[in-house]
Amino acid sequence: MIVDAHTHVGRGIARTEYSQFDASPEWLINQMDKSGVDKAVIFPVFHPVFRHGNEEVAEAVRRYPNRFIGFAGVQMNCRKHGLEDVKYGLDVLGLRGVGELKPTNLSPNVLLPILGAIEKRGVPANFHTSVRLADYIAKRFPKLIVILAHMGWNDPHAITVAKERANLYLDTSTVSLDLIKQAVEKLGAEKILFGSDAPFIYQYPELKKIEVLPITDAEKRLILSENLMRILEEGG
Amino acid sequence: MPVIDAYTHVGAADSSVLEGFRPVKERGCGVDKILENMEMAGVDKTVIIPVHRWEYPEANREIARLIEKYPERLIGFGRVDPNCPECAYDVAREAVKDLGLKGIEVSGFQWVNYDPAIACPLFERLFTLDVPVLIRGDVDYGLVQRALPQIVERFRDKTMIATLSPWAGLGFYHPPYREPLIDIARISRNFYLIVSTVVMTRSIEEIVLRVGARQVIFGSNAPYSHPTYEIARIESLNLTDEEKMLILGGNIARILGV
Repeated sequence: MIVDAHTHVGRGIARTEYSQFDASPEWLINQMDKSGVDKAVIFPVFHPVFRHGNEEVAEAVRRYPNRFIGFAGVQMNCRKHGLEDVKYGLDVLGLRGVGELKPTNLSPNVLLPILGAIEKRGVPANFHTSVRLADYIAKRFPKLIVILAHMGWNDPHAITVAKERANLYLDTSTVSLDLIKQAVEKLGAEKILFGSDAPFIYQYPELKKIEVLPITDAEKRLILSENLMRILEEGG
Repeated sequence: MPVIDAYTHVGAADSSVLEGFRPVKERGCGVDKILENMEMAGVDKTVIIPVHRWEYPEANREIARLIEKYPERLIGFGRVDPNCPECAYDVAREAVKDLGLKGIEVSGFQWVNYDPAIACPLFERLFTLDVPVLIRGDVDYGLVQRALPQIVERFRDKTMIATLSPWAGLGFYHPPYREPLIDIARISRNFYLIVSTVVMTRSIEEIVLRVGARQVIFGSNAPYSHPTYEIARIESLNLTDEEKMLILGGNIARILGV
């Protein structure tokens, strides 16, 4: 089985008179079928407040329950709206994780309450952020499963940090083949998750990077699905 | 014609959850330093704006208190973080309607909401407050590239000011940051450029030649630079006295009605 740990679905506010971006569930299903991907974690596309985007994700999961695993988006730069997104996305809509989180407000008054609320709910969180901040979050919230998208933008230091922090995982979306190879060698396949960042990045070439790695089939299975499914099972 | 310094920051930047990490290399200063600079440089009025903070309501109130103390010398702008657009408007509204501040700087550490679909509606709401909206044309380059042309095209009658201070304190001036802003300034006569601390004086002259003195504004970007030096640079340009007066205070006085 192949599970893509990093995709986006929805149009929400992006479909306005100013922009016509559309990441429909059908487009993604088509990509998955072409690439041989069985399931995908879907995040909303970017929103100022994620309520509507999270509803779109929940609706896509309802329509394609065997193909999608829904994660909630969270406004990380505002305590009030961030906590609302966590509550509505996880408690009301029943989404199974949060992502892709982009924290830029590093105030303790903003970041810590939102992360605390996510940790309390026992779900994994995918972050698009720096290695340094991911390290801080994983240390400060040891029960939170932190998935660092793009390995902190192809940052080799992500491998060292993920080795130190038991709860820090790396996703492979847009990461260079060489860095993924290094990560498997130094860190082990258990801490790496295959992700594509579709529809911005196409799944097939992202998947190809894992397929050509000089590793065992058992290691590929870990990266391509088993690690993520284990995380989700443990997170309830 | 009064000399007005249109761009300074006061206050102290917040700390963050990461030890020793400061969001931007942005420094503010005390109001005493601003007043001392003004005295030395012969500046009549100065626009003061909060230095980078994670949350702005209290910082804007502090600016309002300083304006109350020095109403003849200082002009206050509020500041909002665009990364939560829902809150940004409310913070701006308080700054303008309740605190009486005269403009709004929109800038946040790593502006992530610069997609036109998100940034344009935010500016649309901010413009309803009928005060100039100031953006950091250098630091928030994503906004300049992606959303700003649409915003300016659509709201030609609204006043926007973009700074051209050195990117993140690097102290030099990248032409790639300048060109889109010059193009945008040609779309609307209500789009202004603050040429604070643009290191190459020759670049300022070129900007004035290309967009016209009517759309160029002097600001010291204190505490990074001193108004004495910045005024001397404007005075050294190969421009008419009338053009220099517009840059040194005439334009911002017309915009703010002072």
